[in-house]
Amino acid sequence: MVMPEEAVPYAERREEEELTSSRILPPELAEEEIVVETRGLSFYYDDHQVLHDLWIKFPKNRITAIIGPSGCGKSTLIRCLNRMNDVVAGARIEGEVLVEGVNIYRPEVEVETLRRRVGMVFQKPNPFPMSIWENVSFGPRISGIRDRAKLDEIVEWALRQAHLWDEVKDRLDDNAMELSGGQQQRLCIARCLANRPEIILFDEPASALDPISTARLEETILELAKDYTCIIVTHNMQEAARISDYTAFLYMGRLIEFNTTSQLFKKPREARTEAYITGRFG
Amino acid sequence: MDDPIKRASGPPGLSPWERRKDRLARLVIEGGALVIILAVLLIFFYLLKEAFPLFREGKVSLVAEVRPEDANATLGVVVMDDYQKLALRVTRVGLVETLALDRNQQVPPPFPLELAGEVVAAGFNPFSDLLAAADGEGNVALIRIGWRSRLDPERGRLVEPQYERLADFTLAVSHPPIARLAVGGGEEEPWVAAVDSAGTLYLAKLSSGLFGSEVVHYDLSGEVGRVAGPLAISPRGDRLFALEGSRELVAVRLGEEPRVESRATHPAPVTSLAVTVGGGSLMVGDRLGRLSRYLTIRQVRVTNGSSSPITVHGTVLHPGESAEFIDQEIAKFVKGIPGVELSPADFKLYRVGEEFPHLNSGVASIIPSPASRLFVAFGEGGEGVMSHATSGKEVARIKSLPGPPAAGVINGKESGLLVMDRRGRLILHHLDPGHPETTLRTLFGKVWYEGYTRPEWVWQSTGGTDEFEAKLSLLPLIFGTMKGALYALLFALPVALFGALYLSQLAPQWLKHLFKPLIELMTALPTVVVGFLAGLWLAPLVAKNLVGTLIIFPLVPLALIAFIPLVNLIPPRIRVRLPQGWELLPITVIALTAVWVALKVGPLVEANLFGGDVKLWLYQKLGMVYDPRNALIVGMAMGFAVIPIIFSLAEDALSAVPKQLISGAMALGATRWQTAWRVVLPAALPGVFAAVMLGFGRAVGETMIVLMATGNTPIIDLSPFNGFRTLSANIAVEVPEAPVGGTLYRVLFLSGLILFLFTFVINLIANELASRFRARYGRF
Repeated sequence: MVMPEEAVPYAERREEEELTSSRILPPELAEEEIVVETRGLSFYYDDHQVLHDLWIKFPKNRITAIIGPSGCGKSTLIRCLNRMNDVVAGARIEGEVLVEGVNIYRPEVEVETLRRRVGMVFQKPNPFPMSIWENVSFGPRISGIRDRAKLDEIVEWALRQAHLWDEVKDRLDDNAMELSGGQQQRLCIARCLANRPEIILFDEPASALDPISTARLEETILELAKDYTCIIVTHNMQEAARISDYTAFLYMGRLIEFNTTSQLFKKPREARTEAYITGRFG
Repeated sequence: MDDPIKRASGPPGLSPWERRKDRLARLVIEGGALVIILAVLLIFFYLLKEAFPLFREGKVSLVAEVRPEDANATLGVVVMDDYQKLALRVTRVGLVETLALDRNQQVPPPFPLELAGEVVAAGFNPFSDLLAAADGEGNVALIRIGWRSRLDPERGRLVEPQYERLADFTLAVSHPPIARLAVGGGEEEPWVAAVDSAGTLYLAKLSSGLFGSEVVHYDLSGEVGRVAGPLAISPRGDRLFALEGSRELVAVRLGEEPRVESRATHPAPVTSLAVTVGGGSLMVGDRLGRLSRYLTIRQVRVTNGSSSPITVHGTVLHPGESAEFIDQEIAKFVKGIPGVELSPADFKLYRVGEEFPHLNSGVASIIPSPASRLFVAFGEGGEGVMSHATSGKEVARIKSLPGPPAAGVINGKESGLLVMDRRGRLILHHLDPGHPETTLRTLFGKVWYEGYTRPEWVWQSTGGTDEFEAKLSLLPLIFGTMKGALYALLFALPVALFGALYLSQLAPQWLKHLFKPLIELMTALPTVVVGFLAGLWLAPLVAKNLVGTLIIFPLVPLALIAFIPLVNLIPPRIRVRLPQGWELLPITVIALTAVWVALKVGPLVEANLFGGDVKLWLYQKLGMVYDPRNALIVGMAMGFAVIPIIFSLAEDALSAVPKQLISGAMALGATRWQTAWRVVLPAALPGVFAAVMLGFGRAVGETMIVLMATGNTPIIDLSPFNGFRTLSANIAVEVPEAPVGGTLYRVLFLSGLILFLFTFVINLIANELASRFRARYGRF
């Protein structure tokens, strides 16, 4: 269990915390290639601290689930990973987020490039009110690709990856708003994939979907994990158990436990983890 | 009372008082809405009610018939006073007899013409009230008829004819007797035209000098052939129209030396001629029952002094050749060609209109109104039609005559028509012409007015003289309204939309909270102040540095576009440290610098490129007249008034775009600007378009700014350098001049109705778009 920290400068704490985190982190991580890593990440909205000194490592081409009760900061955490919190008024960040070894909060990091590398799929499907083709090709187009044939190729590839191609290939010019909720969410995944990201962040991607759509979406995510590092926030523990390789349990902005999914669900080390996953609170 | 448990278990537990309050609130709200709808409908129907009579048909009703005992003893002349009380006729024995059309009138004794023999011909001109009569020897009596009227307490209005003997003279006709006689002309110099039995035309003018009057005779026998048909002298006494043979119309210019001015061949044998008030229009009736209108139009002579042939209006002019054209606009086409000269040529009798109602038989007589271009035409079968020379409107049909009339007259108030049939019976009709000069064609189509060289859209409601014809074409006003609104949008759109996009998407919150109310406060400025400033301060300022002002418009956007790549030159290390919305400061500085540079460069450009005076250059090179109060000024001033509306509503629409869409775009690596331009703006487009429409509606209805900042010249010209007149400003300008119930008054109501419909439709479209916008995002 992590106790509230005293205000000790980050750099001085670093070594000690490395040790602490490695104590919390599962030994299996040692064999994984780490792509994303937070080092002493704290996040504030004005004076309210939302994340408390997080030290987490996300392994490559694995699905890492972040679970926790509402308001525990799990969405805030993944939004820190592609700097989506930048535009939030009053947001302040401490610590580092490393993506492939580079602290993304360094001034020379171009946030637009970062977000192409670290894609994101949101809680509610948010297709643009444009055609399916325009939605999927949006990322490549704004990054300067104008060649129609190349764009077509990317669109088809992305839609196939998102398991949507067969359903929409004949109506690419239809408005994306006419798709069903599940299709819209897979379209958003395709839209994200079209940017060729390395990491995909899922922010409760299935919370607005029915069970069948959810099942199809999970299938897609499992498929994607072969090539991409997936980090998925969910409040649905079954979902986390079904698809993730690793699971982090966040509570009140603190990392309570991080382990392989099977270990965390079978043998939680922390009492609060056990209480949460057995449904005693949350 | 409001216990949730109780409410959950039993029926809803609203207290009677709450219920009553609820019902009252609903009543007030629904009642209020109903009153508003009712008020709008009421305004609409009132406008409609006031405008509708413009298109109503006129009425002609039979009032009385008088059968004099010796009906056969009369000549084909009949005169009536304005009150339709008395009629005059000329008998063969040389008397002007009075007949009462109203039982209460006293009948004065007949007036003797004092001619030697039996009267064989007589003519009356209703425009100058001149009567001429001739006996078989060629002796002519010229008399002016006047009326004196007084109100009698018992018998009502009593009318009495007055006679003024102007002259007695003899026309030396070679083949007596005189067959036809026409009289006309102004106050000073009346003209008498006569045709003898052989068809020879004789002309005489009564000249009043210091030592009394003298009669001058003119001989036109060498120029005019055998005159067979009717004669007509224009009310101003400047032209005589006669018929040579059966189809050749001759216009004789009356003056010091009368001469044949022009001829025109009518397509069918002519049976009747009449001039209308003002003197421009000659109405011609032919044997086919058709009515036509002829105008005498000054031509322009084009002489090809160049070495190559030119083509003007389809006519090829070889070098050295010249031709005459009617359309003065020709000057615009040939002006620039070297060697081509234009000179004024003679007037030409020209057939301009045939859109008149037809009669079933040959036209027997055309009776013009002395007050307007209204006339009544009768056919050989006795059927009549009331129409108008300019509008060609079929005002009313008359079916009360068994045969063609021998003579007829319309009184000065246009309330009565007196016709005398061939048996000497007098038949009085009551006239209600309504608004004969107004048809949909005169309101919206091109009309060929007297004195114009081609059909045009003209708004000119009042003129200097009584015979002036109001030209009420709404098209110049509709055009002006659209022009004003378009120029306003041209200025307002970029500013308002970019401002809205910036404030809603890019600016930091505090800036938005500061600027939005500030811009919305701009609406609080009374438009009369804006118009006043525009007309009295901005207009002279712009006129002083026109080139500089014109340079501003391309320079500012160009400077801003040039600024974009400069942003990318800023090292990212510095750029990320800049606060959100920092662009505003450099943009403002750049825009202001560009304005300053433009104003400084303006005079230099003017001196070097436009020879020091751009207005002169515009006129000489492009034929554009620079009017200091012009569309440019209105665009700026009205743009200023429209900006807050478009800005505020567009900002609302842009801000209403769901945050998820913005996050979605940002997560794909879009910059803030790309997000705003590629996602937010397209998504908010219906709402933004609604804002633009509402701004457009506001500009269409705006009155004070256009009233004060344009010259209110109702012309159709897209040039930014001249003014225009809008429907709304027109109403404000003309209402004091419009007599209640008159044509102008009703046309103003019609323009109000059009304005109402314009803004109504525009707002409806805007509303529809806005609701679609809302419906689309209702799903989010």
